[in-house]
Parts: sequence; C-alpha cells; structure tokens
Amino acid sequence: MRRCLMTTQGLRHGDYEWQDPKTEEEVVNITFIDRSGQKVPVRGKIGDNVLYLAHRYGIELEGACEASLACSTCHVYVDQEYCDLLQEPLEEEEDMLDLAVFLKDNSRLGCQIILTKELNGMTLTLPQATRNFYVDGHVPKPH
Amino acid sequence: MRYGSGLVWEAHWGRQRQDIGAAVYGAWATMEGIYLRSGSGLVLWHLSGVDSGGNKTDNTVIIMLVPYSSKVPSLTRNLMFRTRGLLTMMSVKRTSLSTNTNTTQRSTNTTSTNTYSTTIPSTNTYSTTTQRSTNTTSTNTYSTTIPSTNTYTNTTQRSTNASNTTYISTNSSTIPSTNTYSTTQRKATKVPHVCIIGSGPAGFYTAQQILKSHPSACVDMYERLPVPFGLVRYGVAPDHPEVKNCINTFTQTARNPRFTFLGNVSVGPDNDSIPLAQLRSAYHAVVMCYGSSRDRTLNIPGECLPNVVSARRLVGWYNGLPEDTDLDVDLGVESVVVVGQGNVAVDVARILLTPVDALRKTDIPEAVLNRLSESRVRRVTLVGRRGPQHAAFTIKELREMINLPGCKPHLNPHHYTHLRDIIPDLPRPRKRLLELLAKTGLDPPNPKLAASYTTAQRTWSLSFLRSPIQVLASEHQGVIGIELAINRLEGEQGRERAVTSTETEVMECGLVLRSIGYQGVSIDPSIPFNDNTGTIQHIDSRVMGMEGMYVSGWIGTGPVGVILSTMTSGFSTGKAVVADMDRGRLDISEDKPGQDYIRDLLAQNGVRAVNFNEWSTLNHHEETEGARLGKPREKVTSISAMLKVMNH
Repeated sequence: MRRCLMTTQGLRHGDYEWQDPKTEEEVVNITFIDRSGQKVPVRGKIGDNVLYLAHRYGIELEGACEASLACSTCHVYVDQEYCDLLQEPLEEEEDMLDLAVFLKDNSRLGCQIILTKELNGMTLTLPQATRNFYVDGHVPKPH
Repeated sequence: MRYGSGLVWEAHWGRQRQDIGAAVYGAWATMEGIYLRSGSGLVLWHLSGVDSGGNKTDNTVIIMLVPYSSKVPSLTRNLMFRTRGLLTMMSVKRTSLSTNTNTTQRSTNTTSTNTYSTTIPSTNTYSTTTQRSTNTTSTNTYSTTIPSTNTYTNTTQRSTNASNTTYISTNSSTIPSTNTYSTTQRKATKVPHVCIIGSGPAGFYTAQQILKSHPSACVDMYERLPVPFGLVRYGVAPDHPEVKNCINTFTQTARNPRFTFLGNVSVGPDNDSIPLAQLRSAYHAVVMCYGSSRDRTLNIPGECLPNVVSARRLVGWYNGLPEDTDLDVDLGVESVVVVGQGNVAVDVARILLTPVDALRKTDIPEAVLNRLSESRVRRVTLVGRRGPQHAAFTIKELREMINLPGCKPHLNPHHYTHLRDIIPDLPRPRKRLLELLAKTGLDPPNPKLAASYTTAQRTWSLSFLRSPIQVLASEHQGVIGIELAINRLEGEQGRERAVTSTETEVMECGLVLRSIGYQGVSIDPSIPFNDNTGTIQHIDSRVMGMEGMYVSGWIGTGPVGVILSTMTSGFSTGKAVVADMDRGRLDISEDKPGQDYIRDLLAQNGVRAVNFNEWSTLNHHEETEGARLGKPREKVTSISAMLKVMNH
C-alpha cells in the first residue's frame, strides 16, 4: 500500500519513513496497539513521523489532512512516561485534539510526533473506533 | 404473487415493480401486462426470481431491442408503453444458483423462448471510453437465425438505431437461444458489486474501507455533479485548504482498478435520474452517502425576502457550486445578521469580513471575488437561541475570528461573566472554547491584537438568547432588520432549553443569513426516513427493513461533526458491508451486473456519465487556470462548461 501519490512532494509526506534505518544507532523501536487491542512492534528510525510510519506498517491511522493540523484523525495515546519526552503540543494541535473522540491527558496527534532516540520503547495506543458521537461528548437534545 | 411451484419473476422499471408472471415449468416468464421503458438500443432487465418457498433463486437478464416506433408518441425518454407488439427481441435467462457455471464476472448465459419471429441482424455500436462489450447471440430455431452483436460501453451518449431492431412476440414455447453478456474485464466469479450514492467524504471513506477489506468487491460511485468530493470541494471553507488534503487519499481510492466513478448521474425519482430500485437490482449492496442536501428553515414572516439568504447557498456560491453561481445576494449593505452559531455561521461571517485581497489566494471563483471586492459589509452579528456556553462553533474557528486582520470583536462583557463559574466543571474541549470566549469578552486584548484592533474597520459580535420572529423590510422589499424574541433558559445545567418570552427587540441589518443546520432528504419512498431529523433510519449503518441497503455519513448520522466523524462513519459502514458479505447476511451468491446495467439506462436517458479520468482533466484545467491567477485553482462553475472541458 505505497503512498505513491506523495512521491513528488519531497521527503515531507512519508517518503522518508519508507527508508530503512541505515545504522543501528538510528533505530527507534516503538509499539502500536491497534483498535482491536493488538500489539504491533515497529522498527522506526530517528526523524520518522509517527503518522507516516504507521502508514508504512499498515496501522489504521488515517491522517486526512496530511499532517497540516486541520483534523484529528491521527489521534493516539502516548505512554505516560514518554509523554514528557515529547515536545509540548502547539496551540493548533490542542485545538484539533479538542475535536478528537475519547480525549485523554495523554492524547496527541500522531503526525506531530517525530521519533528521537529517547522515544525508543514507546507504546502508542489507537483510540477505540466508535460511531454516533459528538465532538465534545455531549448528548444533543432538541430545544 | 406466486404461481404454483414455478418461479415468479419480478421486473423493475422506472419507479415501478411488478410481478411479470409465472414460470412455466419453473423457467419461463410470460410477459402479460409488462410495461417497459422506451428507447432504442440494448436494454438489460435484471430480474430476480422468487421460488415457491419465498427464496430468491434466480438471476435473470432480459435483453431486448426496443425501437422508437411511430406508434409510440415521440420524445419519450421515460415513456412507458406496453410490451406486446413493441417488444423486439427478448431472451430470458435463468441461471440456477447451484449450477451456475459462469466463469466471467458480469456474464450471463441465456436461454430463451421465442415462438414466431422475424429476426433482423442488428449491430449497434456505441462510442466508448472504457472497454466493455456485450455480445448477444440469439438463436431462434423457429425462424431465421441471425447473430446480433451489440458493442457498447459507457459515458458518452449512445447513438440509437431504430431500424436495427427485431420484432419478436413473446409467446413462449421452447426454443433455446443464447445470449452472452460479458465484459472484457474478466474477473473471478461472484464479484460483489457495491453501489455508493454520493462522492463526498462519507462515500470515499466507505469505498476505501470496502476496497481494503474485501479482496474482490467492485465499488461504483454515483455522483450528481460531474465532479467528485462533495462538501470537501463545495463546503469546506476556501481559506481552509489544508482540510481538503484528504482529496489526495480519495484520489488514490479512485485509482483502484475495482473502483469506478460515475459523475453527472443523479439518483432519485426525477426524470433522467436512476431510480433506487434499479440500483438495488443491479447491485448486491447500495450505500447511501448523499449527505444532507437541504437547509433548515426558520419559518418566520419575511424569510422569503430578497436579501434573506441561506448560509448554505452562500457557501455554495463562494465555493463555485454550479447551482449557487447565480445566487442573488446584495452585499451593498453595512450590517449582516447570521442566524445560527455553528461553524458554517462562523465560516460565512469570516469570508464576509476577511479583506478581499487575502481571499484572492484561495480558490474562490474570480466572479465571486469581484462581488466580494464591492462588498460594503462592516458588521456581522451571529445570533444564537441559547447562551455562550451552548455555542456550536469550535475553537479553531473562534480563534480565527479573534485574529482576523482588519476586524475586531465587539462583545458585550455581561454575556460572559458567568462563564468563569461554570468552566472548571466542563470537559476539556468546552472548557478551552469557553475560556477563550470569556477571555475575549472580558479581558483586554494582548498588545499585538490591541494594535490590530485600533485600526480595524470591521467588527463581529455574538448575540445570545435570541430567536428570530420576523424579518423586517422596507416598502421596496429591502431588508432593514430582524425582530428577535428574547429567550430565557430552562432545564438542568448543560441541557438547557431556550424558552421564548414575549419581550422582543429589533436588530438593524440589510442582509440575513440563515445558518441553523442542514437536513437530509429521501430519494425514494421505500426508504424508512425520519422527517424530523432528516435522516434515514438504520441500525449500525444497515437501513431498517431493506436488505442490502446501507447508510454512511450525514444522511445516517445527521449533519453534525467534522471530517473525523464522517470518516469513522464511513469506515464502520464499509466494515458492516464487508462483514455482511463474509457472514452471509448479504446474499452475494447471484451474479449482478453492476454498472453495466445502469450505464444502459443512462444511455436510454441520454445521460452522459463522467469518469474519474475526465475529472482529472478538469482538475488539471482548473489548476492551470488557477496558477495563472496565483491561486490553487480557478473552479469551473457551470455543469455545461465542465462537460465542455472534459470533452476536450
């Protein structure tokens, strides 16, 4: 399932993530837990964008806006201990997270996580799929 | 109606459906009383047989050539007329479930009975853009035996040749003839055919899921317009181009060999539309993804005045939607009231208040930019029935308003003082939204914003606890204001209702935009439709009481939510369709013709279906034109002009 459309757009839209690590020092091992609860270990590398890395390994992380902070379709939960190692979310990311379903304290957008060596061992959990929800969890009533 | 132990055939045509008779010896249909659509050329009827136990057992295709006859009133695209005497050539096919030996997808071997007949060789060649062919060979022992070949395919209007027709009456006896209906796309047997109605995000995400999780299913997507992507193209604000990036993924889906886009084809009860019943007979599954095409109305006096406009249509207008290109809206007014406080209301307010030069780098059509450059709008007020804590817009949209160049908020602090008491107990998204709102309403702006606000020429404001009662007009029908009832809130916190009091006030304005939500419509009387919510009734995407029918996106959920919710809905529906195929809840054991059958109906109706490559041609054209003007694209805003570009 190659993202062939993106090949003309340089290394910013997922091509980089398709390159294997050149050295062992570069390797960042992380684990995805998919929507059915299954663990999927992934061998990433420094500089990989989690969204595009997930695409490479067939993890169901959509990324509708292609990492432009205009949607929340790549919402993931980050291990508490690794949360602090990530860069603080931008205001735009926070705004988009507000539209995510089942938002938690450790929610982040996958497209904003770039792998570093210290993230080795991190687990990212995909939220459960759901339907018929409202963005802020409220139950609408006719008024 | 059942006849003894034989098979009963049911014909679908137009909006009607009728048993067409009993099967003699369980095999052959009699043709008493059948009405057929007129037209000349190849006609395919897909018939489903029902055995005496009530089970669907059979799959039938009737192939006939129907002439335009002098006996038939002229014109007549949708004319129905009696079969007898006009039916030209007919073969009835019966393929039993257990003994089906077809090796090609979309192929049907037919045995038919024709008693006395004059047979004339007929060769109809239709122009094609995709490769599909139908070979019909009919052998009638009882008369001259002439092979007839019909080659046809798609999209372009087909030539019809009335002279090349064969008259055969339908009295049954037992003479075998063979009709092979096949395509050059040879695929494995028993390919499930899925029809998707609508090409917005719901349709594409559903298609994406089906193609991904089923190895052989073919997905055909029908779209009313010649161009795909629905509200991504025509609803997403032009100054939010990043939201439209999902088009790249949709385009990848569209390039899947098992996917076909059929644009410029509408589905529904209207003339030249494909009736839902036809789609249901041609496909194993039909997924309705056509969204909410109407907007809710206020139902107050003055709503029909010239400058009371639906925000939905204004959005369509500045996005180049063909039907809204000629929208009659007078922007030569200073003050605008938007009724509603959702993201659509904020979108239209923002577009009206943004300096036009900033909009020139968006894909707003040039004609609209010209109109916007002459706009005299200075003030926009968004009116809501309830309080600030109930506002439906989201934080990104609010932040954009606060930071809008040349524009400042004009908020009454009294509306916001209570917010800080309730904020701590709210879930995070509401909390952050209301904090920003309270900060904007109560605190002095930061120095950067303050500097920007001092030179601002335009303002926006929010008005709460107000319900429109009537739109006021001058003698010349010009809007001069809107009368609002003052509401109070009742009910438990978080679920308050607005209750109208007798007290009213008048807000002056020259333009009223109605933005109180969208509503779906039903495209067929057989659909279980909830008129109150404007949605199709379903359980987990499966339409209630209609096997093989599904919903996805707003037509099922109601017009709420961002692309994430539509994506989730599309994926769930796609999974439901595939799960039903896998678990036998959806009968895919019989062959169905899919688009081949529908294309033929389109040809009869003179409808030119547009394929995805033709859209790509138009897309390229629009981008080229846009590049010349320094914008992402210059949209073609009329259907005829689109088709013209595609024909090149």
